Amino acid sequence: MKPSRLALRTVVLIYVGALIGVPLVFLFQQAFIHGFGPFWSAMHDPAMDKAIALTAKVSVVAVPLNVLFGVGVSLWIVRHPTRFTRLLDTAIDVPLAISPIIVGLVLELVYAQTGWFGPTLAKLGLHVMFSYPGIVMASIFVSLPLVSRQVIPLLREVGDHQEQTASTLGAGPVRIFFTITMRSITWATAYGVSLTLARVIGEYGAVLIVSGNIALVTQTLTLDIGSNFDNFNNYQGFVGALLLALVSIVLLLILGIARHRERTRNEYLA
Amino acid sequence: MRTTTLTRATAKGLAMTYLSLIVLIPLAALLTNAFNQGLGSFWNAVTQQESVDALRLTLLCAFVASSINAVAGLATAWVLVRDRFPGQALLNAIIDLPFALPTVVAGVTFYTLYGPLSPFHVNITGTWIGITVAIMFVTLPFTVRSVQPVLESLTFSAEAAAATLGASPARVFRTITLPALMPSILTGTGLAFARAIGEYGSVVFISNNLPYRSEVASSYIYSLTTSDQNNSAASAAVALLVLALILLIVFNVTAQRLARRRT
Amino acid sequence: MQSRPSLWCRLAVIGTVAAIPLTFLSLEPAQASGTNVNVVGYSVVGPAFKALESDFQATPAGANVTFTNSFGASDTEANAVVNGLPADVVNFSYEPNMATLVTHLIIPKTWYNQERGVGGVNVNLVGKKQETVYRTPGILTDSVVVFAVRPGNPLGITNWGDLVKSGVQIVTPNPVTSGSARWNLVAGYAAQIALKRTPTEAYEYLKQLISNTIAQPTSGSAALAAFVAGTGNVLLDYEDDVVAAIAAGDKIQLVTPPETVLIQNPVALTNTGITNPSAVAFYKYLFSTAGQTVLAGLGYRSVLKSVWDKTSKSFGSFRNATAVQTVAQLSPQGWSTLNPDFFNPQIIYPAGGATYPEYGIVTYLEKFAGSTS
Repeated sequence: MKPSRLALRTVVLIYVGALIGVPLVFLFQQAFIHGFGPFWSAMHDPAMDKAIALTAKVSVVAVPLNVLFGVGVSLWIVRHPTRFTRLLDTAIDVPLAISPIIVGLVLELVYAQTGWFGPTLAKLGLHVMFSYPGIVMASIFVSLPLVSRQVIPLLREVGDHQEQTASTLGAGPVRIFFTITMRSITWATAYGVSLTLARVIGEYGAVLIVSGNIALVTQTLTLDIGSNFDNFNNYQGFVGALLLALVSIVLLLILGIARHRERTRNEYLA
Repeated sequence: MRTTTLTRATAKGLAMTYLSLIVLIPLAALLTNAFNQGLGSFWNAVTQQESVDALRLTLLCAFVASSINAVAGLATAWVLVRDRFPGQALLNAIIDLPFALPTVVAGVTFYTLYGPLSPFHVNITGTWIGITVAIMFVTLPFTVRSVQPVLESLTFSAEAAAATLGASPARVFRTITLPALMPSILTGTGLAFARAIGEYGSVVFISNNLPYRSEVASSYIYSLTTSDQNNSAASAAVALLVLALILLIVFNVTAQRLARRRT
Repeated sequence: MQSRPSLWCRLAVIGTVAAIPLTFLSLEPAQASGTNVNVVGYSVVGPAFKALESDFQATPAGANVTFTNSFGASDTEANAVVNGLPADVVNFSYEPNMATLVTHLIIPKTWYNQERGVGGVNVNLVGKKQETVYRTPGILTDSVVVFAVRPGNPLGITNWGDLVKSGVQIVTPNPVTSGSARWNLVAGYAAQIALKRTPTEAYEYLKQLISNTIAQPTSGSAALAAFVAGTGNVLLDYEDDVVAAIAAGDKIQLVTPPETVLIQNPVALTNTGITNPSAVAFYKYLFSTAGQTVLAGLGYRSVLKSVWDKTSKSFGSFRNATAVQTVAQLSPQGWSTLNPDFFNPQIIYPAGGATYPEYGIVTYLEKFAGSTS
C-alpha cells in the first residue's frame, strides 16, 4: 500500500466527509429526531405527497428532454467544430451562471400576462406561468448544460476513430450512433442524468417565482419544504429534504452497481 | 446521404428552437430590460456602491471556493476512479447531494452546524469564510463529475510506457495524466465559478446579508427586483452574466485549445 | 449484437418524444372554476388562513367551498398577482401592495370600503380601540412591532432606547426585500415621535439602530430563523409572528416595548373575487366575530371591538394612549409618503441641502452604516 495513495484517500474522505457527509448526517438526525413513527406519518403528509407527485411529473419531462438535447448538442459541437459551435459550447453554460431568482424573473418577462408572449399564449389556451409548463421550463433552464458538460470532454478524449471505421465498413449513421457512440458515452450520459435529475428535483428559487407557490397545486417538493420552514414545520421540512437527498444517493448507488457489473464483465471478457 | 443531411438539419433546428424558447428569448428580454433606459442608466446601476461591494465579496468567495474545489475535485475523482476501498460506492453516491438539496435546506443546515449554536463551536456566519464554505458545498459536484468520466476513459498504456522508461509517478502524472485531464478540469472549474457567482439560496442565509458589508451579488439583485427597480436589477444581472461569460469563454477556449493540441 | 446500453438509449429517446405531449396535456387550468376561492397573502399570515379556511368550511356558507392558497413575500406575491396569479381575496403586509394592485386594475380603487359594504361590518359596532387609536377601514388584522429576546432577557432589553446601547446586536429583515422590516424601522421612528422627539432626532436614533444590526436576512421568517439559531440578542418582528413562534416551541421571549407602531395588514376582494359568491361569503366571514376570534387566538389583535374586548388581556399594553402610532398619524397620506420618504431606492436631498435626505432616509442610513463599519 503506497503511503501516498493512503494519504490522498484520507484527505479526500475528510474533505468530502466534512463538506457533504456532515450535513447529510445532520439531515438524518433531524428527520428521525422523533423516532420512526412520526417520520412515517410525515411521509404521508398530503401536501408533501402532492408535491412529490408534481416533482416527479416535472422530472419525467425535463430530464429526458435535457438528455436528448445534451447528447445531441454535444455531438454537434465536438464533431463539427465551427465558430458557431464553439459559441454554442459556451452559450449553453450560461444558464448555470444565472442566479435562480433571475431565471424566474426572466421567464416571467417573456411568458407572464405582462410579458412578451404571455397574452398571445393565453388566448391559445396555453398557460405557462403559475402552471406546470412554466415549472418544466425553469427546470430545464437551470440544468441545461449538465449532460453536455459530461459528454463533451469524453467525446473529445475518445475521438471518432471507431465511428469512422464503422462508416467505411458501411454502417449507417443511426446504427453507428446507437452501437458505437452511445456505448462510449454511456457512463458520461448516466452521470449527466443523475446530475440533471438532482438539479431538477432540488431547484428552489427559479421554480418559486415561476410557479406562484400555489399550495397543493404548483408546489414542488422543494417549495413545500420551503413553505414548511416558513411556517414553523421544520421537522416536516427536514423529512422532505432527506427524501430528496435519498433519491439522488440511491440513483447513484444503482449506477455504481451497474457500472461495477459492466466493468467486471468487460474484464472477464478481456 | 440526403436523408442524413435532412435529419441533421432538422435535429439542429429542433435544438436551436429548444434553446431559443427556453434560454435565448428570455435572455433577450433581460438584455432589453437592462438597456431600455440607455447605456448610462445601465452603467449607473452597475457602479452603485452597494453593487460594487456585493460584486467584490462575491468574486472573492467564488474565486477561493472554485480554486479549492478545482484541486479537491481532481483529488476526489482520482480516489473514486484509481483507488478501491470499502465505502467507495457511498462516497461516489453523496457527491451529487448539493444539487439535490434545496438551497433553503442547505442554508438552514449550514447555519445550524456552523453558526452560533454550532455543535463544533465554530461560527462562520456573517463572514466571507461562511459564504465560501457554502459555495464550496454547492460547486464540488461540478469539479468532480467533469473530471471523473475522462479519468475513467484514460487507458494506462501511455502512463505504463512512461513508467517503464523510468519516469517517476510524479513525472508521469505531470507530463501525461494531468495534460489529458486539464481540459475537463478547466471546464469543471469554469462551471463551478459561474455557479458560484450566481448562487443565492444557500449563501444568502449564512452571510447574514448586511447591505454593503456581507451582501452577495445575487441577493443585491434580488433586492432590486423586489423594490421595483427592474431596470437596475436587469442591469446588475447582465453585468454578472457578462462576467460569468467572460470567465466561461476563457476557461472553455483554453480547454478546447488544449484538447485540440492532443488529437 | 445489441448491447444493453443502446436498448436503453432507444427507449429513452422514444420515451422523451412521447413525454413532450404530456407537458401540454396535463395543463392545470389557470383558474379553478366553481366554488373555489383563490387566496393570496403575505407569508406570516399563511397558517392563520389555514385555520380560517377550515373554520369557514365548517359553517353552512362554506360547506362546499374549496380554497387555493399562495403565500410568500408580500411584494413578490403582489407582483405575481399583477402578472396573472389568480386571486379572489388578497391580504398583504402593507398598503403600498394594495396601491400596486389598484394601479393594475386588480382591485377597485375604493377597496377599503368593501369592509362596510360587502363585509357588512356595522360601523357603529366599531369603536375606538387602545384609546385614541382609530380603526382604519379595509384592515383585516392589527398587530404591533415587538422585540424577541433570549429566555430570561439576559440583557434586560425593555425599550427602544436599550436597542442602541453598545453591545446590543439586532436582527431585523432587510427593508428592501421585506415588508416586515419596513414596519420594524417605522416602529423605531414612531417610538421616537411618541416620545415627543423631533424628526431629525428620530433619524439620528434610526442611524444608531441600523448600525447595531448584525444581520438583515431577506425575509421575516429568515430573520426569525437566524435569531432562533443564535444570532444576535434581539429580534424585531410582528407580535403575531413571535406569538406563533413561541407556540411552536421556539425558545424565545416576547418583550412589548412601551411605544410602537400599529401594524395594519390590508385585505380586499379582487375584481374577480367580487363576482365570486364564495369569495364574498369568505370575506364576510373574515370580519365576523367567528373569523376574528380565530385570528385573536393566533396572536392577532382583532379589529372588531367585541372580540378585542374579550381577548385584549392576552396582549401586551403600552405606556399611554399616544404610545401606539398608526401610519396615518405619522404622516397624513400614510404609506404613500412614508414609503418614499424612508425607503426610496434613490437618495434625494432637498434643494437647500440638509443632513438627512428628503427621500430615501433608510437607504441613506444603510449606506452610512455600511461605509462606517
